[in-house]
Amino acid sequence: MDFTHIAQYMGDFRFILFVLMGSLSGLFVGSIPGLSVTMATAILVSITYTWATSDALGLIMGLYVVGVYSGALSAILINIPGAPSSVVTTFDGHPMAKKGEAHRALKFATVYSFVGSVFGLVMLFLLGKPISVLAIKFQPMDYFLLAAFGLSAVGSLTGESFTKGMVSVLAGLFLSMIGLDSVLGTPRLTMGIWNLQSGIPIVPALVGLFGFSEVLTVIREGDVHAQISNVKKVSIKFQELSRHFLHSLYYSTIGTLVGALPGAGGPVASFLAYSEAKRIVKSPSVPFGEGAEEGIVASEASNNACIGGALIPMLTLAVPGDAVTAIILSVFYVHGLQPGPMFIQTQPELFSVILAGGFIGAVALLLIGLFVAPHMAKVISVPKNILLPAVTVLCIIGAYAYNTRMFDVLLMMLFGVAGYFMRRHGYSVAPLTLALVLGKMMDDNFRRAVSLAVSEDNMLRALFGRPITITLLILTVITILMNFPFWKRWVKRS
Amino acid sequence: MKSPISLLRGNVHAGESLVFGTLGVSLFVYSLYSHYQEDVPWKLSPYLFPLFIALSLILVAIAMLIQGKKKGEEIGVSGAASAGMPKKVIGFTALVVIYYILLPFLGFLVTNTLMLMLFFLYLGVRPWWKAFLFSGAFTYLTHVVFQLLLHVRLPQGVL
Repeated sequence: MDFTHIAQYMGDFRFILFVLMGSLSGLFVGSIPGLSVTMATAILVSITYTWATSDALGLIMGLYVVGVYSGALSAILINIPGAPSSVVTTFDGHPMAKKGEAHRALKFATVYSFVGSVFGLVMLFLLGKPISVLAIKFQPMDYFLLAAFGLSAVGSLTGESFTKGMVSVLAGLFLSMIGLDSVLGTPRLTMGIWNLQSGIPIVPALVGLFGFSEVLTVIREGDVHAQISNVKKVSIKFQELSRHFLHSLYYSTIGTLVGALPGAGGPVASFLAYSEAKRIVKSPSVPFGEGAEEGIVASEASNNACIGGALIPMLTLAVPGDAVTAIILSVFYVHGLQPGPMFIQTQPELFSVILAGGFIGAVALLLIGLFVAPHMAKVISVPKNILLPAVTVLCIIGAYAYNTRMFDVLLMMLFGVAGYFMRRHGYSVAPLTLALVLGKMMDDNFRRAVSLAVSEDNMLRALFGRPITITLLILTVITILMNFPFWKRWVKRS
Repeated sequence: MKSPISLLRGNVHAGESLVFGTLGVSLFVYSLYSHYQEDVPWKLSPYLFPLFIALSLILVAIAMLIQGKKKGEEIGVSGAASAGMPKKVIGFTALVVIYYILLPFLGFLVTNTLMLMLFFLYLGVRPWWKAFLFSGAFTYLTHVVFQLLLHVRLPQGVL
């Protein structure tokens, strides 16, 4: 894989068109509160599964990059974050808009979302290969522990509590066990239902968990009557705009690192970057929380840098960093591809597709942000009672289109209702999704590791005796222990 | 040492932990039973991993029970948020179920136009002709995108 591959895709008109289509969809779903990038990606997977992989990935990368940014539009204009990662943008974005500086706030958000996106993708380009080289040395137990570490991290960082996160993880693992066993070929946990022999199809489950459940949640919450800020065009000098560039690289580094941690994602990154901004910027333009452009820079640079960060473990280790990358991972599986240590070496073109899609998406973000975003106020105010029925139909048809069978629609509805109840009771659906995607891989590797180890003299040493295995085991155990009350008490005391 | 019954009293997570505990025990028993039915060594058994999931679920249910008791003592059971399904959500879900039942019989075009209009009306789109216009336009658009452009064979109906 080299620059020429990426450049080739960046000059391919058809590919650019797919990324732009995705970018426009991202602008729409990201900026409207109640519609999420995850939901749209899940629906797109069901539409694009028959497409060429490069077309599907181009569309999804465009949606991912612009969708994450677009959350800032509603955060600034109506004080409602379009995505969870834009919560922090409301702290200073909306106060700026209230002062009549909405256009200025949008410009800062756009430029530094672009910087964050490009930074994350460059990190993916630079670190992807070295991490793959390391991952080649992984053995079945390492893969199992890596997935276990990812799931325990997701469980501890999302939802109301660690126990609820773990329930979500275990539910996902249980559901992933349903279907024909890959070793013996016998049905497992299918309860005699013929349609379950091929397992729980990921796409209808994702559409239900992120699409239909979100529709039900928004209906429950009722309509949002928001005050839309006026956007008066102002010109900002380049020097003024670029003076936060060095700081933005630091926030982008935070975003990339947090993005690479399974489960943390944009919301955690933007909170961390914002608190760092408060620490390092001694004299902001106005105090933080009252419309400081430094706050917008920190939030937007870090949450967009998460994109590249989240893709690093997904592509090199097949462990997704967040819910969207879990869905992108399912795109790979749906297209018969296997991400992991060998992916970059065996499929360099697809790695280039992802990078090219990301870079084109970042440019689209910049153009959309500078020229289209100021006119988005009307689109953001589309009434929910028109939007939600349309999304419901897309969920139904999206689930049906995957295998053209009604059983998948039923599954989508069941997952949707389950997702609704999970959200209501404080269970995050992201750990369930990740576990559903990773479960089969964990099961296969666990049994392979045990089968190999029982023939050795010292079974425990064969299972856990290698440095990589020990490191992963320690990481997993520490992640779990950190959530125990005695650990928290000990940290508080010391 | 607290008795199991006292753990349940005033516990905000009593219901959830009981459900997950029961599920864990059921999966544990089912995995053991199915494993011995398969007659293969544990290292090859398809029920080895489900057994681990079951054990973990039981442990998490116990942890949740203890946490719920502490939380219940702090905020009181009445302080826990009610998490039922409001009538509006039940109604909308029922409409989606009706859509699911009608789709194989009436086909996509009829079902979608009819049900989408009902969705719009249910969520307060007025007047009725506006709802009809939106549903007709959206059905046509979906039909063009899925059936004509993406070649997805949408249900034709049997009537």
